[in-house]
Amino acid sequence: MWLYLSFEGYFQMRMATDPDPSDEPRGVSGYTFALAGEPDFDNLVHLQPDEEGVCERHFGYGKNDNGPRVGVSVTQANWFDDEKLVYRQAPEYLGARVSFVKAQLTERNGIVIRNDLFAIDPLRVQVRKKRGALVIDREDFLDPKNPGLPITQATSEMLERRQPQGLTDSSVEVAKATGLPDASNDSCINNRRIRQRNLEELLKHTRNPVERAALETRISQLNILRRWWDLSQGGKPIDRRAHQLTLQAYGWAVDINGTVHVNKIGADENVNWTLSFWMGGWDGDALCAYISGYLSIPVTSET
Amino acid sequence: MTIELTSREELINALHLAAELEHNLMCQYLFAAYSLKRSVGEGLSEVQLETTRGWGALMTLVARQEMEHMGLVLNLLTAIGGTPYFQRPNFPQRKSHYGKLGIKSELTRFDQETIKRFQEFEAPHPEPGPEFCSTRGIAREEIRAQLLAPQVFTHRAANELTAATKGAAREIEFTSVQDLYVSLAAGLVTVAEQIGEKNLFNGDVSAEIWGGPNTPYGEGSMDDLSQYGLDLIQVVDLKSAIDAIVEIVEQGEGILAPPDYIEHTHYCIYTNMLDEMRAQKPAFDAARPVVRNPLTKMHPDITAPKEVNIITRPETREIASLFNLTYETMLLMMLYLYGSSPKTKTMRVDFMNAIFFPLMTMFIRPLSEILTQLPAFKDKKGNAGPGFELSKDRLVLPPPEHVWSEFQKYFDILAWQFDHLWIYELRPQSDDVIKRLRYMAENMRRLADDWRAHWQNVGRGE
Repeated sequence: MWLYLSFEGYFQMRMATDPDPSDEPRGVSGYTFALAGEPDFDNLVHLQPDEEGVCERHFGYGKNDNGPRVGVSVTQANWFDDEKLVYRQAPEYLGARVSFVKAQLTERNGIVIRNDLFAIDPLRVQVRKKRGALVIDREDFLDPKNPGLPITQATSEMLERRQPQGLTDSSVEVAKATGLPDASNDSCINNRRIRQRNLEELLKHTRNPVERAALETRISQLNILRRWWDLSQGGKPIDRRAHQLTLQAYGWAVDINGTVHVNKIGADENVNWTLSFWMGGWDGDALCAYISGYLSIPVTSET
Repeated sequence: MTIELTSREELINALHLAAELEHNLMCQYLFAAYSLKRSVGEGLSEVQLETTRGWGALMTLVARQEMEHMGLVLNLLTAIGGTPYFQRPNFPQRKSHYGKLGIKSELTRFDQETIKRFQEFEAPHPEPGPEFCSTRGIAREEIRAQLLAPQVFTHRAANELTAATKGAAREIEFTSVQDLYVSLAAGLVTVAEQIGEKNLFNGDVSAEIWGGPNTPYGEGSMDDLSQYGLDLIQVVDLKSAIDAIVEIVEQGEGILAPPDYIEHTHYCIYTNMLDEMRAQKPAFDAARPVVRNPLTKMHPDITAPKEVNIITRPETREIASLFNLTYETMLLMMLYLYGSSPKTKTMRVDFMNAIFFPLMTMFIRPLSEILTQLPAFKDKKGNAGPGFELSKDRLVLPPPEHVWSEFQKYFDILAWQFDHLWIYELRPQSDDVIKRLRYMAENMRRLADDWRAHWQNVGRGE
């Protein structure tokens, strides 16, 4: 018997972007910032809005306050009987909340990972039922023989388990998930223009000087359409602030191998569980992106 | 004053001066940027911190573009048969060091006096009025038209310029950075006419480093430099050489820049920054109390020794020395990267993967920021900063067959030094400075190990 849990939603990750160093606390030379009135970056992947460190922003005034809202939950849940080859719905898990405890997407500007194929580390997955009861909690080790191994000492094989398979530009799957009309560059640029206009409107209604300072920085960062240097052969690529709205890091597939801390579903703890997902649609203004995936758990006794 | 340059040797000498100046200005800009306060705990309000962060972002953008200018100058040098040039005298230097250019070489913290000096470095000549950076549309066009006269980026104008400046002195007679580049552009045209374009551009252009969608170094993160405000082009002929120079003066002084870009030029960035600083009510000090020219020792090439502040606090001096070794290692690697010794594309990418992101962003900058937080002296107030000190005997490359192992030694020494800093014994492990140094130590060990393994352990990239 297996339990398949599909999950999706927006997560937040407040982190600096290159060329800032990866431990930069507030952002200077990249395009993501801990703004006036906000705490320093914590670099953590927050799948739930009530996790400590989440700092959600406004995206416009009144009805235009539209943007990513943090929350990743189970959207499909099924039992699968692998002897009878029969699926059965598991409604008790619909809406369950998924978390990656203290996870970071790590690259360290080429020290650990090359060119944006971020590794997720540490990796510990939890699932809570809608009412808050923790039903699953298991961690993964880079090296099961050395559970405390820091990522800076991992081999390329160990890292690869935690990396996506690759990146897809202009992903239709991402555009569909995040509500863009399509995956074209024009749609991405238009989305940023609308965000900028909405923030300008919000600024008009904002009196608090700290909030105004933060909004002015965001508006300035969204001013991505100005002419830049285009002498290089092949022309200027779309700015990353827009491009990443449909960029997808696909193919994370981790056979979770470590300690089971909570098991309320009768899962088989002697074998690895499979966690597979993609991340994409990074909105640098919101410091949020979309995740969609599933958790596949072998079960010895259905509870 | 534009100076006539009539031979390859004169062009190479002028390009050496240009490389030195870009390098020099970049260090000065970075020093000031890294002196900025970074938290409300340093006495800034939330709004002041946001303003300060914005100034820091602009200054690091300008410094990155100075690096880009240096890269373009190195490509120009390579294209006409010159060799890469990373020399410069240590800070500080008297204003007379660069002759009529009047460039004061000193490391000073961020304040109005410093930004005024930077504004003067980047000023177009003749210097325009305040409307240059703030007016839009036709008025700005008129100002640009004035600055463009006489037109120098054409063959005919170059010849006129040659006739007008016959007999001018050859030493540093340039009166501005703009004049240096205008002279270089005219000189390239002149010499190409004299000896033929193909004969002038006879260098090994494959040794150049350039970016963009068609770069051969795509796996080294060079395919999209525009996201960092950069465009590093390959120089192969007169047209691309002039393009490179136009890009430098457009970004810097703003001459020839398109109207919608004027406000993003270095001159206008500093002009507007100065205006903002003067307009702050209440006025506030955005920078840490960093002393001028904090160095670990006096260097024989310094011409303004009285302006030097020798760091006397031992644990700070140790970190300043570590900064200098990291900086010199990076320069030495760049010397190899840009040099014409035989190397495969893979070898170039291997070097770029160590230099451009790890060394610059994960070590040079954090060490600089840490230094500006640390006391410089045992017996008086004032913080240290990155001295960008160069020991002349170190900028010499090992024989090609020993290059990799020689850099291994550098990385191993750096890793050991990061692991054994005295400051670890003086401050609690929870101290932010200690945490940041420990993070760097971890990263340097990884870099040293990856270099030893020829990058076999680094995580897979795109």
